Amino acid sequence: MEAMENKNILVVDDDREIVRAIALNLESEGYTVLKAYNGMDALDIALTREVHLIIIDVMMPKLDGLSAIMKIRERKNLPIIVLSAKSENSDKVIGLSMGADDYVTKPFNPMELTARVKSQLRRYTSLGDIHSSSENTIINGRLCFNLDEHVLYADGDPIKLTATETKIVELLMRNPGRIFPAEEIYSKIWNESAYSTENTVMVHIRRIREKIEINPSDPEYLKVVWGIGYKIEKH
Amino acid sequence: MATKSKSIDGNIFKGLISWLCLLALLCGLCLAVVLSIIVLANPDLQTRAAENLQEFAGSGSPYYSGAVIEGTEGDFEEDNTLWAAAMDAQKQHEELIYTRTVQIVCALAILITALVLVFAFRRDRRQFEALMAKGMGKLWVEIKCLLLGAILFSGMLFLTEDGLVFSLCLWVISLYQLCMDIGYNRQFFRHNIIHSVLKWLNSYKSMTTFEHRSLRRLFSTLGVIAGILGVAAVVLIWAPNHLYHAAGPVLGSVMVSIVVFTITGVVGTIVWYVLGLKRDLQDWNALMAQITEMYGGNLNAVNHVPPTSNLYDCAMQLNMIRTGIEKAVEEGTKADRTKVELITNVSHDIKTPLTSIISYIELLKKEPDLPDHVMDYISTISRKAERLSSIVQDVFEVSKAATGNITLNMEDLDIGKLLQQTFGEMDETLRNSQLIWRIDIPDVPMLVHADGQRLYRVFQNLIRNCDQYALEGSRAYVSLSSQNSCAVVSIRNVSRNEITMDSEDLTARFVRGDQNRTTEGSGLGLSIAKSFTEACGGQFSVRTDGDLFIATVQFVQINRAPVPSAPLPPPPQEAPLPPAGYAAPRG
Repeated sequence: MEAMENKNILVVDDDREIVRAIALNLESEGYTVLKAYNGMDALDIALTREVHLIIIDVMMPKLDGLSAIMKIRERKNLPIIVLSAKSENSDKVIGLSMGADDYVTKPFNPMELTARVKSQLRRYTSLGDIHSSSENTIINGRLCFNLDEHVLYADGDPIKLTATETKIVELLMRNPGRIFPAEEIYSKIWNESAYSTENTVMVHIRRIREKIEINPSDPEYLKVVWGIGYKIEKH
Repeated sequence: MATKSKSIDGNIFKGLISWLCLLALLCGLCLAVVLSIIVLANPDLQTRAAENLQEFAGSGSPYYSGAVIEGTEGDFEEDNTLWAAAMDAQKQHEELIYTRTVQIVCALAILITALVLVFAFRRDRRQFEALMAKGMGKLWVEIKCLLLGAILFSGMLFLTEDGLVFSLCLWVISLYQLCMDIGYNRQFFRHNIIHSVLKWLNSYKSMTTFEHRSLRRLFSTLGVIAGILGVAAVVLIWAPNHLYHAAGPVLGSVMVSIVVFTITGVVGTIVWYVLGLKRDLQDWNALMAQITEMYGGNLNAVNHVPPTSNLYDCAMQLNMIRTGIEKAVEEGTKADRTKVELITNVSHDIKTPLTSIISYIELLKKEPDLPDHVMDYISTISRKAERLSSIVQDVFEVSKAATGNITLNMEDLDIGKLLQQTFGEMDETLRNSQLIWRIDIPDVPMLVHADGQRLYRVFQNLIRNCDQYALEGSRAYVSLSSQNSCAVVSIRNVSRNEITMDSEDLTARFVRGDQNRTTEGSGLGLSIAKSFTEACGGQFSVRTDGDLFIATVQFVQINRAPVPSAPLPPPPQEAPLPPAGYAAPRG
């Protein structure tokens, strides 16, 4: 955990208890936490002090979260995670299009939030250094697959995958966005024609997802295209 | 009450007295004026009147005559006979004076009494007059005119020297009554026979039914035709016998004109009737078109039946029904929207404290050196908090789906593959369950048009439902089959508890198989499955047979090859003909 003590995280929510809980959780991970309870204060702190990451609630008095993000984005380039009690997909899209990097719906698991914070910080600070050390890598968001070593990195950390899982990941990482039917994955990995073996592929996929996704029940990368197949989302 | 009616009666009596006095006064005044005018206008009468007056005054005026008598008393004293005669005359004169005085005093007293009565009871008089006017207002103005004319005419007849007083009084009284009537009845002229007849006709029209009106028109038409034919027949039979003195050509032309008149009359009447019938039929047509259109779903359809139509009332009522339905639908949508808003707000309000609860539980878990039982409590709280969180989300989703407020990403997908994927996703649940799963999914692709994510939730809920409520160690069957070009997924299991409710209730929100609610679950599983299936255009049904529980999801199959290796999923397309009961998502 290199240089984590230096990371300042701004937590903004009008509910003081939530801010305190998030702060306690993050501080236990070694981060320094700045607190704000409305959009104006958040803007003030974000622009005047050194902040490495912002966790901000959407619905707040004085200046709402989305407007604050837009104002901060005009001046600064730093990861922003949006908190919202709305779980509608459209809200998520609006949040992300306003310049947020990640979207967490309330009620969230603090562990998940911490994981996302870590992921975002890694991506912003160490983007490029380890991945680009080897030219033969596929980078997709926070995932990075090294073709020489056959190792998948998530946020820079190597993921322990079995041989089959690695093969599946490689296939999908080489074709981000493309949908692979389970039969195709099976025939390509096992070099056999698929016959009622879909479950095997599916179980493997689910295991990979549990290893690489922050929240496996709401995957961001390894997605199921229902009734058709699987894909790794292009980020 | 009694006293009141008594007092009213008394008032009427007083009013009557006052009114009579007023009339008497008026008559007297008019008489005096008319007489004086007659006297003044006629010199002959004038001298006669002057003589009369002198005669009256010569013996009548007490002051003047008294002075004369006093002055002449001494002159008459010496002549006894003369004196006696004078005394006699004086006596006579005095008697006369007395009589005249009494007369004048009486007249004055009567006059003053009448005036006093007129003024004292003027209020009662007005009431009495109003009462009379009300009664008179019921008479038509034509009848009043007739009466007035009759009175004036009869007054003319009596306008002789003797009847003058009578006719004058009659005129005065009738004029006074006329003025009073006009003054009190504002609709004096409007209350005439024509107006009443029109009103009666209108009320007759509105009172009778359409059937009566149509029949009346038919019968009146027939009556008019019969009348014309009858008159023509009578004339045709009568004319040749009685017009014998007329020459041939005249008779011929008369006959011809009668025939022409008859034919024109009959044809005209028939045309009139047919035109009316056609108008009615056109209006019927308009009404029926509106009903058809409204039945087809277009509530905005309006008819253009003119107000003069026989069917106007009916058309107006239909329009009113339309407005009523529109209002009800509008209120229904509004209520739905309010419901979703309410649930959205409530779930938001629950989520915020829940976030704190979950966060602090996590902090507690990190606390070192906690005794085991405390850790146990914490994990219980944690589990319950997670459950609460999932219930809130479920409630939110089901309310949105039930009101059609969800956005769907419809695409063609292989339902068999989707089931396989669902089992893959739920691998852990299946493995840990106490059930033996028998899964029968044919290899042939079965394409349906649905939202994959929602359909996954449907099957996920059904499988979880099985897992939670099925008897341990029993077999659960999941099968996919094609029936009547529909893809049918059926999930069967034996319930652990006795199913005491009917299948309708099972899919209702917050209903669970165990009435005492001991198992985990929001009670929304089947409800979500049903709402999502129906939102995607499928049919969801639940059946129970003893302890056997059967859930069926049915989608219309589509016959198109899938695009398995497309880099991107095919764009959402329009659904094929949705089955009945499919409600297009709103908003």
